[in-house]
Amino acid sequence: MQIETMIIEYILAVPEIVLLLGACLVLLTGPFVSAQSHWTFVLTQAVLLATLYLCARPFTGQAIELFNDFYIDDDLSVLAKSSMSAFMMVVILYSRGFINKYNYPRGEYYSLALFSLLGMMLISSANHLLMIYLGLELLSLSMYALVAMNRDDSVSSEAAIKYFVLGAIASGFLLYGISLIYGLTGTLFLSELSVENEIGLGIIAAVIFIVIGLAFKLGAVPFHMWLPDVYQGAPLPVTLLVASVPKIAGLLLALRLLMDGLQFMHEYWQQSLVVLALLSLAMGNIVAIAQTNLRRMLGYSTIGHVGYILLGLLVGNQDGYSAALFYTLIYALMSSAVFGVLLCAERMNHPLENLVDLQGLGKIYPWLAFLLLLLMFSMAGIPMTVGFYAKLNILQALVTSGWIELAVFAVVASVIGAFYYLRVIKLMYFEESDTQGSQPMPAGHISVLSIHALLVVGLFLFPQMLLEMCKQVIG
Amino acid sequence: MVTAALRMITAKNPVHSILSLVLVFFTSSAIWLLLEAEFLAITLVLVYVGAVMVLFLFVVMMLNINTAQIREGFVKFMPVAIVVSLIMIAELVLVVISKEFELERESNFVFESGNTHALGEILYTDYLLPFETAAVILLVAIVAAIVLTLRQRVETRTQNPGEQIKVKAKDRVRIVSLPSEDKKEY
Repeated sequence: MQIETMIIEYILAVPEIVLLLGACLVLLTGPFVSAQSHWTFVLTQAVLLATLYLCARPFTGQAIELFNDFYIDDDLSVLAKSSMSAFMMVVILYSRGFINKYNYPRGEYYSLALFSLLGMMLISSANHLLMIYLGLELLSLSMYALVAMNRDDSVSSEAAIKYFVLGAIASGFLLYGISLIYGLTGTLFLSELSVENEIGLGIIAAVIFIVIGLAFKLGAVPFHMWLPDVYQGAPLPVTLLVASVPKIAGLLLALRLLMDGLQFMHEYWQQSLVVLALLSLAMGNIVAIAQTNLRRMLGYSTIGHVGYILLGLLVGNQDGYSAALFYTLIYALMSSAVFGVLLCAERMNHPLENLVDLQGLGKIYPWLAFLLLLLMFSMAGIPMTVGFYAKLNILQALVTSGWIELAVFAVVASVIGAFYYLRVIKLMYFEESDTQGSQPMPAGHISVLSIHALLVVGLFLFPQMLLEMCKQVIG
Repeated sequence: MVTAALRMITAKNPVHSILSLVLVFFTSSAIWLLLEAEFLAITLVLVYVGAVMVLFLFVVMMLNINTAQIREGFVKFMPVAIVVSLIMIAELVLVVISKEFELERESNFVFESGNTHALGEILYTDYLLPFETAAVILLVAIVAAIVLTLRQRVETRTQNPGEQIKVKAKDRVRIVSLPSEDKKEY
């Protein structure tokens, strides 16, 4: 009996085990192959493909708790893990050209990315506050190292230091909240927390600390200071990584903590989330207008999008959670595609660092500009792109639960936000530039990017499947 | 322990104050031993005395810190320090006397083979997954530290043994014949 349960445990956790072994293997391959070798890249993609294959399974509607209930295997974790591994594959593919061009240490880069994915997967199937914290630390440590990789650049080092210090403070907040909860309830299991019905001052303080830690990690105003700096300062592939996959992990962190663990405290954390969401929507969208650096502008746009995700979370019912999940998945899709465009342009020696660099892109690289146009439309939430459905879902969830003022505010914020997304399009198509595009597009990169970016239109036409999936995993 | 702690903050020489801190750690580990928490006692000695304080000693000895300079702001920052310590004392008192944080005392824990054994057993069975995750985090920390510090510098001077062996006498010493100069009169 003992042996059998152990085997079942290991079989269900096999994606993580494969990923861990694969990450170590990639790390070990690094020194044994030449610096120009593509083996590390191939191996990384193989590991990710295997992880994706092992993660993906049809939804069963059941939750199985493993490893003495530390680990939970349910539909939500399946959806999150499969999407994260798929996004990670795309991210690694886009990063490859840049890594090769600037000779970054490959084995280390790829294996740190894999380790961060392992951390994210552990967060998504955590059933214990300790596991949440450990997964988060694994994710953050790999990210700090990746952001700091370009040591010779002072902007990059500044971003890394800010990220590291603020990330450590955030972990401290989270841990302090967790320790208060342990002191008050005597348990750290998420499913057992809900049994505790007595709500005193101590547990409210604990929830506030946890929400602050969460806001730091998600990048919600007023805990957003690190985000624009990291977007601007980190090496471009790392920005792509930071901007896409960890957002899903951040949402899962919020869902596990607030939905699975602290649902009984809903009315308390709801108020803090309202404040965070309003500030993020206002600040993200208004400050982004003033930016001249494209990556910094995208950083502030992320803050605005985090505001939307928080709006979905604060509703606190199935509609709200599934809308937030849908929004996050779509956001990760759009964001990784936008940075994919930037990386593609960089490979063709036409780096898009500042907004000015976008001038005349419509003439120089028409296809790339068209893809960026689609993505900007989607980020702004204009119909014919899936970004519209993402925003619509959030608004629907808000209106049906009576938060009409918040819905109106969100619409106004997204109208303000449309300004800077449309400015990108104006710069690309209605401004002249004397630069000539001579470089041929990297074939593999552009073909994957095209499919990736056209998905925002495809999902607008057929959103039902993904919407249903998001509803099903929350229920 | 109190004497050592006082010595630590009053000592003029930073090396003395570190050595007093080591004594503080030893005495507190002795207190833990008296409380039958031998694992914590061993860890305190191993980690703090064995690793952290040795590191401190290295740093202090290498940096040759000018203590007079550090002491300059002592009086100026005194009010702030007093306020902070009063707040901390108030917090401690509040936590100790508050009802909110009161837990039932479970003092009758009896371990048959000491708590090191019990801890080990629980770490490798019930807490296996967090334990392994912590191990992976340490691995990532090592990798990250190496990535950030190891660089192939062009200006680094390393030895090349092969080249050193192949060297011949004529590569090292060059005999030049110089014409002898006349003695100059000064």
